[in-house]
Amino acid sequence: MARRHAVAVATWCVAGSALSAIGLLQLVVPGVFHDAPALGYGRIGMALMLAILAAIGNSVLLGIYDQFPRATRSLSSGASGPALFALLNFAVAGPAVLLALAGLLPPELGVSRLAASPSHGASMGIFMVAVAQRFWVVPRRDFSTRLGLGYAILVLSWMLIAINPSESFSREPRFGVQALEGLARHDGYWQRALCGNLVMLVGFGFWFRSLRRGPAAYPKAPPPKNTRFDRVWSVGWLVLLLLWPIAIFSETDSARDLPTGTTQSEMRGRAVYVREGCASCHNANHDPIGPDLSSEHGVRTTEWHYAHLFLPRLVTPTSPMPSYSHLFSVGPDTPTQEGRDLVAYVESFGRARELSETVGVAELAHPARARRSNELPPPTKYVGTADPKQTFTKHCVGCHGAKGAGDGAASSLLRPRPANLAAHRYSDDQVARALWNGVAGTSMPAWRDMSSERIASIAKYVQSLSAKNDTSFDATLAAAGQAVYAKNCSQCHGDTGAGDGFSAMQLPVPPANFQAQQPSLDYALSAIAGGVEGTPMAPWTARLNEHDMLAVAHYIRSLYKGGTR
Amino acid sequence: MKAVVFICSVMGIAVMGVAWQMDVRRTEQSNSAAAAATEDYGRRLITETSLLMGPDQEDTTKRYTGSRLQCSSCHLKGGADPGTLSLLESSPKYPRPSGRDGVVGDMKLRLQGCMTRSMNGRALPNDSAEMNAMVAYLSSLNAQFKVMAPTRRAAHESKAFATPDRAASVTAGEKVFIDRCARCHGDNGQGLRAEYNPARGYVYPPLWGPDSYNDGAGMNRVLTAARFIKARMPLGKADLTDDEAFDVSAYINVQERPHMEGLEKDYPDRTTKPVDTPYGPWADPFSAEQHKVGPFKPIEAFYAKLKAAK
Repeated sequence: MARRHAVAVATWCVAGSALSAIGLLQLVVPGVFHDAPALGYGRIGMALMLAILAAIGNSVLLGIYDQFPRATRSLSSGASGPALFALLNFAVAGPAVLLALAGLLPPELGVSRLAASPSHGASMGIFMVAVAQRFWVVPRRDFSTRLGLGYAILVLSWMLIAINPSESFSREPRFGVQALEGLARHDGYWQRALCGNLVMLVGFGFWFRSLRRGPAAYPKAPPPKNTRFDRVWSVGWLVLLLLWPIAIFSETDSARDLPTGTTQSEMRGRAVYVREGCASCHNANHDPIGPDLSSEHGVRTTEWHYAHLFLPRLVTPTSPMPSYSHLFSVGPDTPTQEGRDLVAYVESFGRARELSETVGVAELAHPARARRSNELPPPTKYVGTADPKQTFTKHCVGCHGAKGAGDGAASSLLRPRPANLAAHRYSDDQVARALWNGVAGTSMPAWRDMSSERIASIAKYVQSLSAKNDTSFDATLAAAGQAVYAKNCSQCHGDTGAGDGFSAMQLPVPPANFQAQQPSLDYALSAIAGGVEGTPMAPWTARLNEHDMLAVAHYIRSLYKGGTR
Repeated sequence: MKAVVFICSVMGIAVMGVAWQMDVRRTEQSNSAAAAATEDYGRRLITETSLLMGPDQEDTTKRYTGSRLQCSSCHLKGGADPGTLSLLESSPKYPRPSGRDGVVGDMKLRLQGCMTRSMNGRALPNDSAEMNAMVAYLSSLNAQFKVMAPTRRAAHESKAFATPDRAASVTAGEKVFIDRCARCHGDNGQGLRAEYNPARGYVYPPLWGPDSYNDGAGMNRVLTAARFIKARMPLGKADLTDDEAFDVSAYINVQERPHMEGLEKDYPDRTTKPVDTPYGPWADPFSAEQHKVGPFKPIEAFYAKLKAAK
């Protein structure tokens, strides 16, 4: 019996330590889960989540078990407590975990705040070790040993997790810093977390009591000797636990981003943000379920936010985020005041930080931030391994449409509308640039979290969408168009058509670079005559006659230089 | 027993925390303005003026502005761009004495001035959602300004304009206009409309004519306009000399534009009237022509002397 007991305790200890170490290391060394744009909670994630839930439930059961020895004595004949708890764990969580692994649970469950995360793994591990030590230490009534001390620290740390001071900090989506802002803003979560964890605290109350009284079900064993194993074990745990405060405070000690300049609209949006539980998923540090929003200021257009909030899968076909259509009165273009406030709040994240820093710092902050830059992604050879169509379907069709005609599900909601990829011929560099830098002033983000191989393969795919386009132009008309262009177009599009006219940098959307992209004749004519909505490109019918427009359309087509990488 | 005390105290703290937070929430709610008057709406009013409260507004009772300019035609980037005519620092300047109105006016009074002059419209009710939204937006701009790092505030500082010691030449101004301005603003200063999207009104604003500012506007004063032109125009390449800016400003402001009634009532204290105010009456002997296009140095000297005598 004693041997079985020792084996069970050791199993709990080893498994718990491993889990904690992995979880804590992931908290301290971000990058394992953090950079996923949107971590889906697939089967494994949900199974983990349920196992964690069961562990939390067990902590309460343990307290009860200790307090009612008569009722539980028959269950635990002597020293088989750990084994019993393993059994309980499996009985509670096992079927649910299996169902989750089989994919039979509704996917909505996975959008809960209890989905798997490194910190949950860590706390579950701590809990498991605490259980094991409890079964080793308490029966021996030996709290003077280092093992006893380790146990006390473990219980304390687990309790801290229950109160969870880190929670209120990390509710604020952030990119490294913002802890104070988070504490000031997310009062609602703080209340909920405290109330929710009261149940756990009650469990701990029982548990603490058992420290003094001891569970009657256990025979008093002789005190153990302090072995080298005990010492290594306890000191090791102390070191590991030190990582916890480091994980929390490493993100709070640098520059503060205080909520200066928060408008009333944003303040109301904050209440909506808290009420809707947005922070539960959008939390880079703690529960990296949704993407990090901490630097969202200036990253997307407001229209994009409305479309996305209304139905996330409009813009991101694989998004696990639920729809918030109740914040709209009719469709995505008619947000209620709450919807407007919420988006205003989300768009304020990181604004103060950005305003107080240099431009470069702000741009570095978010991989999706569109940059006004001609920088190219790191050179790579197109290897053709990734399936570009699959990537295009996952990331691009929501706006650009399946055939790249700029007619995706969200396209009509965005201003400017997504580029009609099928109506343009692009140079290799142009597509790579657009993917790498995004397009400022539009809903096209930068895709800097994508590998250059993948960017190269998408670029090839985008080019294939317009491969059959006619590339010819009428030289006589083009020559006639040159003067019209110089008088009317060059201030923005530049003297050589490179999109670098003197006004270019002042415009909210960068002008087209005709050396690197060649519009189809139809598209060019429609843009000149009808303008491009949402951009400074006006309809020129008031200034140019039909012949001029045709001539200038041929001229800009003649400027295309193309080029492959 | 200790455990019971412990649990009770934890619960007590929690209840107190909840109560405190609910109190904070209530205070926040009672302090906030009407839901419709958001900064977001204010920003849109500044950048989509003609659609939301101008000639392109469907609801005729909400047509307050008469021109098709946007506020952001002159207050570039919705006033968020540091430099000349930036609105970043506007809100803390009010209330302050207004020479034009002869009273100490708040920001709403100043905005009424914008509405009736630069926007050639009528006054907005002081308690309207539009007025409150614009005030809220301007306050939010100032809040942004406060957190801006010094390097960013200085990034777009305008170049100083020094008034040339001569009268502006309309003919020289015309040449500058054709060379440097007409490409966008049109040969006749008519601007270029974004017909497909009334929200944008004009892509290049009209500088005179029925859709432009009226003769009571600050921009109708040659020196005010020249300062703006020197600092901002041509957009993205503000390289005009003082003389060019001065001349082209005069050329633009001698053109025909809407007239505002009752201008003679401006500046009850006529000694505070800016020297380049092109409409009378004045407290000095200089001609209307000189008040329009200069030379301004003699007028400035006259008022300096007057002030010293006092």
